Amino acid sequence: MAKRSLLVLSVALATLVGIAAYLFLYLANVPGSARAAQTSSGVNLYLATVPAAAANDPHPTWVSYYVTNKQDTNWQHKTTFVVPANSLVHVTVYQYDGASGLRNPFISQASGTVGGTFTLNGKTMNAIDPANASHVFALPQLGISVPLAGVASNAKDQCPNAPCTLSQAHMTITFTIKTGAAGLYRWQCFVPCAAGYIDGFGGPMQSIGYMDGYLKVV
Amino acid sequence: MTATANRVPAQSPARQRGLLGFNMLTGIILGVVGWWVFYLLGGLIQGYTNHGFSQTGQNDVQIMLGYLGGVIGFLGGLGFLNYPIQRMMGYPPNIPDHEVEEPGLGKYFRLTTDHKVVSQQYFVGIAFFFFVGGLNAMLIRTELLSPTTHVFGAQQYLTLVGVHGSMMMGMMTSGVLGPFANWLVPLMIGSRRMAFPRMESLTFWLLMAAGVVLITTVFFGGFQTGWTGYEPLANQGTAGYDAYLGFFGLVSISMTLLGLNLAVTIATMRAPGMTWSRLPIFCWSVVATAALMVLAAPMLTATLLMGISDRTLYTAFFDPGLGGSAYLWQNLFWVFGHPEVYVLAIPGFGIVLEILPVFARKPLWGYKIAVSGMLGVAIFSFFVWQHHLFVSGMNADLRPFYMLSTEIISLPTGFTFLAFMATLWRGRIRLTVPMLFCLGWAFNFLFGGISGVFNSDTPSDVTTHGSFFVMAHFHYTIMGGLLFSVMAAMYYWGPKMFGYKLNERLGKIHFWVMFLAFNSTFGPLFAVGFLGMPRRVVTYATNLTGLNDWVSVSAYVLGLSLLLFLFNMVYSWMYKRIPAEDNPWHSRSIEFQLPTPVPAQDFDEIPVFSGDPYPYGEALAPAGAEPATAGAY
Amino acid sequence: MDAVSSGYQQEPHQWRLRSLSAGAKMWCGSTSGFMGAFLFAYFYLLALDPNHSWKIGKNVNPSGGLGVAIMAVFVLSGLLLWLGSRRPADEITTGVVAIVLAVVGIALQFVDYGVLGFGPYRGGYASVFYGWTAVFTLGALGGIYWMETSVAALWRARKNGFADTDEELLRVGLQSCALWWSYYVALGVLMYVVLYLV
Repeated sequence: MAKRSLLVLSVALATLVGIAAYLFLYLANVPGSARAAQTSSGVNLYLATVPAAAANDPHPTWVSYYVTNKQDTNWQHKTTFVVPANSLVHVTVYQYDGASGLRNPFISQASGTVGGTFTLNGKTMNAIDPANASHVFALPQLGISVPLAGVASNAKDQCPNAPCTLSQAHMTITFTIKTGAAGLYRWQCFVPCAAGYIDGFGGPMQSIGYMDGYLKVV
Repeated sequence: MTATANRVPAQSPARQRGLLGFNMLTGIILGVVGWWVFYLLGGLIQGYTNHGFSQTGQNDVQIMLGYLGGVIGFLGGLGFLNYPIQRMMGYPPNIPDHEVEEPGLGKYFRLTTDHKVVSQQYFVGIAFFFFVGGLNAMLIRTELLSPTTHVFGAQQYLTLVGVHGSMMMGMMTSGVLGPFANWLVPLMIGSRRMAFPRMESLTFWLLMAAGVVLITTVFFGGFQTGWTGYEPLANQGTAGYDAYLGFFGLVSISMTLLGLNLAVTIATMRAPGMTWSRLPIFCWSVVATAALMVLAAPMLTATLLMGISDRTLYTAFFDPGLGGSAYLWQNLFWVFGHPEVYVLAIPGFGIVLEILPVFARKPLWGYKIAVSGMLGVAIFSFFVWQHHLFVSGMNADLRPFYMLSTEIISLPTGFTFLAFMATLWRGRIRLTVPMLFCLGWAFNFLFGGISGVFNSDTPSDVTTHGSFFVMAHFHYTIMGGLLFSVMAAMYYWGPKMFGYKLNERLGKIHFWVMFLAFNSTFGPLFAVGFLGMPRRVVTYATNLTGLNDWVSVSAYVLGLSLLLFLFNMVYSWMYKRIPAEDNPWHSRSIEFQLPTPVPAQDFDEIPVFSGDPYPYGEALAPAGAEPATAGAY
Repeated sequence: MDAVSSGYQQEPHQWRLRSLSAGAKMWCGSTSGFMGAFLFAYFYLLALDPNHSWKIGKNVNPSGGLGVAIMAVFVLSGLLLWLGSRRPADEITTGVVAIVLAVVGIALQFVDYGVLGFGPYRGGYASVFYGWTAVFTLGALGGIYWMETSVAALWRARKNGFADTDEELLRVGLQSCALWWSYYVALGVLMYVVLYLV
């Protein structure tokens, strides 16, 4: 009897350990979130896009978004951005990747931002040349879409992978969005930028933590 | 027949066991070694061929070869490679067709040719993977407690859905045939063994390897396609999708061989007097299912090979930019996939119709109608697959044909229902636990069938397609059909198979909790679907929160009911251990005329059959094949 | 079965023979389903012609001469095994020749891959061509294994004067193998007709 009980307990214990490992090592292992900085000038969110993630990343060859700071020195691999509800959020994107081009030229236009515009290296614009698009920061549920122009292919000192510095070739894109009610909103890139995958839509384009994430309005 | 079945003296154990001790442990060790050897080899090949690797960091060649090496090593460790090598040298098989009586648990962890041991291996193995699939279902429902993501990320959620679906639709294809047909068919037809006993064992171990391969998807990022693996999402997917391809590849091979073995056994190894018209109805359901497996599963194997070659050899079967088509996958998958649905359903018909006469104490009504119903379903299932593609932009002229062919399939299905109801009619019904599950099956399958009409009808399918309505429909047919019939079989044949009684009271509690929780879980999902909630999306509209929470809580109760069954088995078979009687249900079927547990060699002599398989309620049964205990009950 | 008790009755000998024969026929059915998927893929992609990429670029045409040679070698192998399996006096010789011919067929297929001049990514046709011929070759390897084991068993039994051997079972085994192999070769002919002539 004791032998049988030991067997039953061992199997039950092994099952519980297996379930716990499944839960905590895989299922709950989702990319973390970063809170936008609240300053006297308002809420500021600093992002960066790179042609390849950091060398120690699980996918070091994948194109990716990062959270950074105004000086572009504190890089964190997180793609859930926490921002306050009913606020103006000033977004700055340091864009280090080259252009992939758009299949649908329509999304080379900005929409849903305050004033319907954005700035590219300090110049106010509402659209870019579709061929120059590197990425798009789009929040379909909020009607927001901003095209991110790519670094010229012949630019000097291009950043090969994260983290990058402002001394390297980059584009600076800024725009302001107004958040509404609290909720979780999905953002994603619409430029087929996943090199090597069929139609450029695999890998990082369908993985949260790379070209995909959430805007968590609280 | 004569069913004295004395034990046969032990033979010398198979040679390869004595020498090398091949078993599951050596299988696992060599499987791991095989994985690494082939994985490293794949890395060398990849360096020369895969121009995409440098950009994606995804080495599909390496991973697929790793799986191949792992499976070869695993099977080699179990002793499956000794046989072909010896055969190539012209020596006779070194693994006997007939297994010997062997004490201890060792026989359950290695290659064996005793059909009853293989069926018990299947039972435990499939139960394990059913548990994994069920756990995923619980986690899915946990995530859906809230309309936004709150526990797992979207990718993890989709992987949960994919692993749950694949595990249930893949592993459970053998859910009846593995544990029950392997055990019952040789007994019912009086053959003592399967036609190809080594192949029988191979199908089991291939299936176990498949389950492990699927679970490894979590190490490679999972897959987001659900169990249908639709292109182009699949081909764009990360390396986790390789596990899906490997898993279904192994499942399809296992299914083909299992079906072939069963079909050949029934076709050629029936004992004298066991004519086709005396074949137990369960065996007929196995014939219909095996035919589907033999013909449809190889199409899946081929389709998966196309998918693998797209990801490793740079073919473009499913890449529209290079002349392929995502719809090619959709078509080929469902050419297999719809018959596969019936691979899951038809054995349930057989179990229920086999058990029903015993507890209605009446002959099975409309034996030939029921047989033609099951065969009809099997045949028609090959002509309906395009109803899965009604909203894909297919040629509109094809829709009426597939709508009609799908609706026609309800006719042969109705035959089995007719046999079910007419057998109950004026029967002396005993509401035992197996009977309760049979009645539960009928209730659930009826709802599943009726809701299926909405999906087969093109205009209504346009609304319901891809929604939780479809999800509710197939859970009613597959889970309500297959699982309830499996439970009926477990309570009916389980004590005979394992030698100890199951607790009746716990069984009844199990039935009622499971039946109510099942309907409480999947009934509301029809409404959820009609209200517009799509499948495979982690978020949903906030107005559906109440219904979803209800469903989630019901699902937990459903999960608990299955734990209750597990408890019953552990309690009854490991602690109480009350020996099962030889024929507790007063069945007239041959397996219940044998002692419990059934000896390794089944019968001392090949039985001779000479009567109707369901002579319940008759004054006197025909002489000759009748067991000593036969009579009118 | 070697060790049985006095009360234990052997199963009818016919069961084993019929099982092999029926198994081979059903295996033909499975093989049809398997090859049917590629046949479907060929005509589906040809009819749909996505992105007008059935054949991308020029020279996406395999060598007709090599195709005919491969087909001829396989057909000869199938015929020889079929005929040989019905003539006990010649079964080993014809079996060995059939195996050698199948090996030559596979070798020729590899030669074909070497001189094709187009890769599998050059459109729908190229994909089906590579995929279908590759799985046919893989299946032929399985066929060679089956032929080899059947012939080897007969050879060893013959060497021992069929002592302690079920001669009829071995013969039916070879005949079952020949049935499937001939059928497989016929499917190969269909494949070559589709890939080279349609």
